[in-house]
This record gives sequence, structure tokens and C-alpha cells, in this order.
Amino acid sequence: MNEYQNSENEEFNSQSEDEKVGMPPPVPENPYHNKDENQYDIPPMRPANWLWQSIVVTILCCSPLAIIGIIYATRVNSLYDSGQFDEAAKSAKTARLWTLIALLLGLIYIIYVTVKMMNGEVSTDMLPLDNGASIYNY
Amino acid sequence: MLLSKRKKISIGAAISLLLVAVAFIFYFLDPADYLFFPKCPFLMITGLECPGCGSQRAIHELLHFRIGEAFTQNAVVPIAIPYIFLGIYLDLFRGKEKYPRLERFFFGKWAGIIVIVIFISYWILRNIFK
Repeated sequence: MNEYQNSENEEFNSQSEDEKVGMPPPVPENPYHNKDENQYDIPPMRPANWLWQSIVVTILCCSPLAIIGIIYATRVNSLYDSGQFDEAAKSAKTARLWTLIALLLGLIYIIYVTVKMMNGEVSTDMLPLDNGASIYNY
Repeated sequence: MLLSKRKKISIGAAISLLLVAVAFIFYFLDPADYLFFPKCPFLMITGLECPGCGSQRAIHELLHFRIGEAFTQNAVVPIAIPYIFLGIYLDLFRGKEKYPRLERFFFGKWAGIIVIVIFISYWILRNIFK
């Protein structure tokens, strides 16, 4: 038994030394991720779904883009509940992307309008209507 | 989050100060009477109202506790604001850990679908029944 064990150990050691010479160190595998079946042994954290953030941007900035964010945000939880964790994380990222794009465009627009106002340039379509009703819609 | 507690507190203080300042502006100035409130770009381009149109006037009315007028300016805003505050509480103030069922109910699958249906149907209906 002892001899057998020793020989096996020597073989193992020599093999691993050979590998160490030429090969880069092996990449440690992600313990939560089983590559072959694309399934998780331990489910990852539920991704933040960006729902309320996209609603804020929809109401306060240019809306059509942030509504895309809302649509992706709603997909996050349903995908996660059906076990498609990768797709859920992807959808959350897309929701974040569209929300942030809409927010950025809205902020640029608000800054643009403010600067225009400070310079005293008011376009005629922004003036109040004659009958006292306002066309301010934002 | 990776931020330290002191940074979190200072960022939170800055944001809440900004919010208070914006609330003061919206309380004392009616967006319908002053020119420097930005106008919806979607309305300017297409001539159609978006679901967010009128939200500034609605916020002004809400700050004066005129809820009925706020609904006539934008029917989504008076409903959405408590919902947004709930989301902020659940996401940023550890409400998720305290009330996970509340989070699942209000920010789950069906809640999101209902939000989309409300927004898009309001978008269509407000342009049909002007």
C-alpha cells in the first residue's frame, strides 16, 4: 500500500510540475455556476429591477425612452421567478441603460432650456396662449 | 453599496436639500404662469401629450393640497408619487429586508405589467379625449 501510494504521489507531483512549467495558472471555476447545463446550484441575488427609477424618469424627463426601461424592468422579476437568472440580469442591465439614457437626455434638455432662458431667448411657441390657457406641458 | 456611511449621509443630505429647493420653487411659482419651466420635448415635436405632460403643474397643485386639480393636470402623477416613495424606501432604506413580501407585491411581475398598462393607456386616452 505504501509503495503504491508513494508512486502515485510521485506521478501526480511530476505531472503537476510539468504543467506548471509551460501552462498559465488555471482559472478558478465559479462555484455558483455550472457551465455545462447553464444552471446555478445556488441562485444568484435577485437583480435590482429599476422600476421606480424608470417611472421617475418617465414623469420628469422625455418619456418614450424611459417607457422602454419600464418594459425591461417588468421582465426582470418574471424571468427571475422562472429561473432564467442570466436573462433576468441582462434585462435589468437593459432597463438601467434605457433609464439612464432617458435621464441623461432629459437633463441635457432641461439645462439647454435653462441656459436659453437665462440668455433671454424665448421661442414663440413657448409663450402662453391668448385665452389664458397655458401650453406648458412637461 | 460600496460607499462609506459618511459619504452616504452627505450625498443623501445634498439630494434632499436639492429636493427641498425644487419643492419651494414648485410651491411658490405656478408652472402655468412662468416661462422658465421646461416644456415637454415630445409635445413640441409631435403635438401629442406624453404620459408625463402636466406633471409640473400637477406637482404644484399637489404641494398646495389640491388633489382634484392635480388629477386634471396629470392623472398619473398623484398615484405615482406615493409609489415612487415606496420604491425609494424599499430600495435605499433597507425596506426590502424588513418587508420582502411588500416588495414582491408592489414591484413584482404583475405590478410592472399594471404600471405599463396604466402608462400606455393613459398616453393614448389623454390624446383621444382632450
